[in-house]
Amino acid sequence: MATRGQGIRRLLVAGLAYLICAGFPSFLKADKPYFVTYDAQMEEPGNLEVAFYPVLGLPQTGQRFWGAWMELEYGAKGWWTTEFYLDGQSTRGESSLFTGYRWENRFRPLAGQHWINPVLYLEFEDINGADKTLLEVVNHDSVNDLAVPNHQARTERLREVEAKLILSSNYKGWNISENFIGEKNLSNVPWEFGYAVGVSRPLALAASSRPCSFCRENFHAGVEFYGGLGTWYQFGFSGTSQYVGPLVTWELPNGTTFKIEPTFGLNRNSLRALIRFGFSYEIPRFDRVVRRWFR
Amino acid sequence: MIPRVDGSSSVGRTGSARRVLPAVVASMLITSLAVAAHRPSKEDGPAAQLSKAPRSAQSLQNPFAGQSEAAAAGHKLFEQHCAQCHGSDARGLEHAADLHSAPIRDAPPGVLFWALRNGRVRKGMPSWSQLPDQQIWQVVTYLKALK
Repeated sequence: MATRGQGIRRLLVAGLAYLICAGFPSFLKADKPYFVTYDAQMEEPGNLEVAFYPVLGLPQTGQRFWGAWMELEYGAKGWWTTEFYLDGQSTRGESSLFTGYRWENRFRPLAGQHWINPVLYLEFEDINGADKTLLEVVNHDSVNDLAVPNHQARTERLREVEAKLILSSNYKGWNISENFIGEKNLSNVPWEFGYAVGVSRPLALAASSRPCSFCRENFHAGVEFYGGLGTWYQFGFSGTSQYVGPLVTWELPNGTTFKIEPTFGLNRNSLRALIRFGFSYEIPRFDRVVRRWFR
Repeated sequence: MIPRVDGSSSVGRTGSARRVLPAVVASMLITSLAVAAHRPSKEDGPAAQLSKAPRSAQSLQNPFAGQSEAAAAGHKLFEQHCAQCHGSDARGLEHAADLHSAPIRDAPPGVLFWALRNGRVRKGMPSWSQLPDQQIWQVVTYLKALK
């Protein structure tokens, strides 16, 4: 009889196989290039993107773990994108568990293109202390927080609001994005801060004329840096964890996007290494599909 | 109670289920709200949008002008990024513009480049600034080759 952990793993493998094999039409849009950093790209109105992001954690002490989140991103308006996340994790020798959910919204206040394009981000999350997705790093988060056994960590409930100022620029094929993060636990805890910075570029700027999977324009390469910035009372890099990760994105013509990012901790507070994976596809004009259901 | 590897019991599992249920309900509610919020905006017409292009856009030169290879690449990009709203024949679906219409056919290439790069976010036309300039020019080349 399969254990619960095996069941979850089988479900994940089946989900991945479905994403890879699904014959979605070719008119699908590229996913955002980064894992942690946001750029100013909004979801197209009416489109729904379904994505799955596993992350393998390799701490210097403690057990290896898999964190994962499933993401549903919907373009409600040209200036408003809403996303819903379900988080989970599995720690070697311990257990697999659902760790909570997040609801985020991104708003683009300015129309048109500018040298720097701002986007405002607002998120509510209800997760527990065992969450290991590392979707953002704030405060003095460290590798020690991740070493707490699941049965203890899961008892801590984190209801938080998170705000980000996303700034993004596109220049000669390069994307440069900066995120400033402020997070507030709804209990009596001070504001916590963090940042993320990403730079990326497609391997070819012009598209080839024939449909192809391995054309250079289908690949993006880049790097992102992220880490904590302390709290309202102890602002700065001291005691924080910091990461750097080179990344590669591959967009298949059938609309499926694969991403990988080996991430390395830059100081003793950080995990030794993380390997992030990403699979996503987009359902174009999901709003039309839903309207058809109710017709 | 079923003992588990992490020392917790089936009570913990029930607690987990209690947390999953609100999450699923919340996801359905949020999706419904977002879908309900999305109404395709009424298009003012491509002429109105193109008339807002700055003068500097009119003088931009298409580096791929008249190149059939670039038009073919532009067609591929159009299918990937534009056809879901404008249709594979570029005649426009629902509220999206007919790209064969006179204002677009007669617009200088630089103005079309500007329109693609900036989009019309409040009216539902996304900005394609994340595409490299070369790819936007390839789409413009394709639009100019439409018969």
